[in-house]
Amino acid sequence: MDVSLRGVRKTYRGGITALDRLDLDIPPGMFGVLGPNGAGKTTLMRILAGVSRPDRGSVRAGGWDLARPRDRRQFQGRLGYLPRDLGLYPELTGRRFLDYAGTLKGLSSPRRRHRRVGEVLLLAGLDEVADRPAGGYSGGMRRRLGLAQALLNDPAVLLLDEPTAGLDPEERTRVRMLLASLAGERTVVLATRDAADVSSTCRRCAVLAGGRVIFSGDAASLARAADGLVWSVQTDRPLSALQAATVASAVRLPDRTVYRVISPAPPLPSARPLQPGLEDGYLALIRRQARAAARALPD
Amino acid sequence: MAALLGSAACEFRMVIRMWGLWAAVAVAGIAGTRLAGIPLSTQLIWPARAEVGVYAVNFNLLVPLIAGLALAGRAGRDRRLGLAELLESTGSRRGARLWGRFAGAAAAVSTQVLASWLVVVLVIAAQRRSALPLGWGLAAFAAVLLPGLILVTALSLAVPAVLSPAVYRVLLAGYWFWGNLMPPRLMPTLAATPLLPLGSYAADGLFARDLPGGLAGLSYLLRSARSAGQATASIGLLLALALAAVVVLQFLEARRARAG
Repeated sequence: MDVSLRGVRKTYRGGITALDRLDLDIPPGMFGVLGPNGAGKTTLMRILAGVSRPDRGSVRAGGWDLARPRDRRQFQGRLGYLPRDLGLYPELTGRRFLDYAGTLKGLSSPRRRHRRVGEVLLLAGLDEVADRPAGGYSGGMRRRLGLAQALLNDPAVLLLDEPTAGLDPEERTRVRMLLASLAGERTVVLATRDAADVSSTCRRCAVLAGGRVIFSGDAASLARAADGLVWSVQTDRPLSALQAATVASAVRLPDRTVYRVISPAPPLPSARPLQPGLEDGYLALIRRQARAAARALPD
Repeated sequence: MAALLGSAACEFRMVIRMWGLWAAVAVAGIAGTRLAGIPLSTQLIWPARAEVGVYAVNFNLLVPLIAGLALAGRAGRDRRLGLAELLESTGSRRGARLWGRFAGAAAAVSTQVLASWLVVVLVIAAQRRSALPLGWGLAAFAAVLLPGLILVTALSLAVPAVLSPAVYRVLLAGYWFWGNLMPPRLMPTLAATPLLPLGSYAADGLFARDLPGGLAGLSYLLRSARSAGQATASIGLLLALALAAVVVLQFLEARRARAG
């Protein structure tokens, strides 16, 4: 299902503009939405999920116009949504919680619902803890239970807001593997701050900054945004020597530190050029955007 | 309808597992019946219907208050737990979920109250060596205990939408003692009106008509209505107020969602 947003604007109380004339086309398949904190990712996801209304602009999913309550409700019947800060009823077991979510999503036949709950519990690797109260679940289990509920109605559109945030590396890998298995015919929108989530699962992506789309296209072409800008620097000097550059990573060795930096020119004479990855492209774009915003400020 | 029933079942499961509420209801209800202080020799010459009515009002002295304190703020629980957004995205109707939550909470707390009340009724039946009090016990549960319980459940869901649950609990306790237990001769109070959630209007009008002087002859708490019509009006009024509270809550929730 294709999803498109045109001229979407959302301003919160206090005049904070979360989305500013945002245009975005999301095709079927895995689609990553990258952006730093405050870029507007969660607002975008809430609007797509129909739980928040834009002040201006239009949002269409398939043939539905989400400004119309009837269309919105029908679209929500085909939607799976994992909010960023999902809580659970601590006293309900995972299975009971999914049963309730299934009822609300229109799985009214108890037999069909119970079967589907069993399937998604298995898919999320929670079948062994399904009858324990959710209050005792780890952070990773909670996220996987959130993913399981999003899959209950076999959705055509799946919105996942920071599905790997706060997880340990093992859980993160587990969730990424689950995400990779989900796309198929679906439209899966994955909002994240972590470029590794997108590079490991998405072919197409967009980058948001300041409530606007600053990039939309293939993940490979996002990496190309950092062509000629990525350097490896080995130095025993303090980080301040690299202030003009954006540090993508730093590996501390006994006698020196190896930095991966984004910079238009070699930050040190000894710098070696590197092949850019998706994260480099993302950081290069964000850096460019931040500089443009700083230049636009009045003196 | 599925969303309403699903929400009711979910809320019922959660409230019925509030083990502290089971215990508090049992202690308060049974302690209330001891306050009746009616000698067994007197009870046994009353009709079973009147005795059950008197005990029902005494059982109810603190039970709805305890239920109200426990249920305060449950309507805002989805938001506090971070579930509201997810539930909103399911496409189910907000109103159906809200009414389901009200029905589930009321059903669960009523089950807890009924269980303790049946113990009292069984004791009365045993003393009388008759099954008659069991039938009157169920009737008294429906007419005396349930309306106040439903009203307090509705208030405990609705009022914390505009006040914090802690402030609501203080106000509910104040209202309970002023509106039910304060003698009307001391200050104006709801205790002398059909708005009395204690259930003494229903008890007097429907159960204690055979007693000389009605319930009022026993205690200032047991206001004399002496009319089945007034008793029915009191029950209707309490239920109507409960429904009105949930309708207001539905309106407030819709306004909050629009503002989001």
